Amino acid sequence: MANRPVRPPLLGELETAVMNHLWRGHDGDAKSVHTALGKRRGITLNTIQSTLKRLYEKDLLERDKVSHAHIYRARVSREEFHRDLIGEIVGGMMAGQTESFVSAFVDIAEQAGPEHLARLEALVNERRKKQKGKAP
Amino acid sequence: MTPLLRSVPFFALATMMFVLAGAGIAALLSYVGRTRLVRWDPRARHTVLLVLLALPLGLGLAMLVATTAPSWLSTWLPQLDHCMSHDDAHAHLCFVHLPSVHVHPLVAAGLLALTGWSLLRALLFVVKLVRALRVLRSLARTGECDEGLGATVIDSAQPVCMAAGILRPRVLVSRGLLGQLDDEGQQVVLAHERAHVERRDALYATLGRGLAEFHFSWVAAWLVRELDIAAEQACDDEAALVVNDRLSVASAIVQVQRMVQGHHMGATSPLTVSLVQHAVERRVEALFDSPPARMSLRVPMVLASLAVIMLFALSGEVHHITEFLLSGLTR
Repeated sequence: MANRPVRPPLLGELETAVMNHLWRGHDGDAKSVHTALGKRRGITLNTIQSTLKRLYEKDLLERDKVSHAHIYRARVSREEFHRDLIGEIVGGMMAGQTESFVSAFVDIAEQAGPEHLARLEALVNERRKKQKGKAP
Repeated sequence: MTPLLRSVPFFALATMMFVLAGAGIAALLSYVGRTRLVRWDPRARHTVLLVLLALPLGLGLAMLVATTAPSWLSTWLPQLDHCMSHDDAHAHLCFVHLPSVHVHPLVAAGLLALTGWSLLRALLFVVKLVRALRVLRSLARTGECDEGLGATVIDSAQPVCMAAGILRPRVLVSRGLLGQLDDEGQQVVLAHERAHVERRDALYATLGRGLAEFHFSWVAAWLVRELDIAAEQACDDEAALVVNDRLSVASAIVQVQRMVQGHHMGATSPLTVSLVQHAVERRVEALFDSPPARMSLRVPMVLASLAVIMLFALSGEVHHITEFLLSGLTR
């Protein structure tokens, strides 16, 4: 299995665009990525090459040398990337570092216990029955 | 040290005294009002909790302005200059007459240490905040924007639904959660998170945590927790309006809590064990009742305004008392 960074690498705007492009299955060299992304943004081929190199150094891409060019493809899937990022957010919450800028639907750090949840489920079901009983 | 620099510690100490007084008042109000407050409509409760969180810093700054009022007023109306009424052998809180005495060296050292420590904490918080916001930005940019859901969908099997971001909050939801919820459940969680976005809860929560630094630790912990619960309950009420069924929201909360706990089983930190009623229980039980009537905060606002007016009316007396107290810290 490939080595993974301890903290997931973060992406700038162009890096994100390149990764999204490669995740859509468009493996390619710097020229093809530049044609797809760089031209309409007014970005030079050199910038695309630097971005691809940076992503390769962040362990997010693999590359094969074909003739004089490197063909790049995603080494980490979008799902794996998201899993690592969510892991960092959730890890902070579980460690008691309440992240004020994230409101999760339920408190991830709170462990209400299966018996508490079962009691609450029973209460909800009981109320539901009463509600249906009152309905005309 | 120039006289001007000599006066800085006095102003700093005065501010600290006022902030401490505010923290004491907030602690007393929180203790006296806690039982009644938890029964309030969550929106009004959220506002009151924010005011309580802001009380030490707000009162500290208001008292600083009020206490120094005789000084800055005397720059326009010299007849208001009160410094002529006492000698210079005590602390001055004055922009016109600078002190001839120094703050005790131990007190000055304590002030410096506290300032340094506070700056370090603020810096660490900013570093953590910047990293977390960049993580969220990376998630949002690489997710799939679904206009129908009004959310960004994340490619993850983990059950995740959150409103994230401070200045430009957005809803993030994972495929894992969407796959495990029926249509109504999805509607509930997304409506709840959209309510957080509209209410800008992340901004207020971040502000609240910053203001909590000026409270006693046990008061801060209670206020921050209650603020979070009030925000959650307010968004539960909004979601209930969208689906027109409070029990559906209650059911979704329990269902998602079970999914999340099943996913993170065994990974609980000891810090998360709580002796108070769990937030999920309070949220679910609140949904069994009809939503509480919206409370008007007009009376508390009028009372607070009167208190501020009285503070400024008594600024001379407050000024004297403060200088007297500060004089005990001079050498």
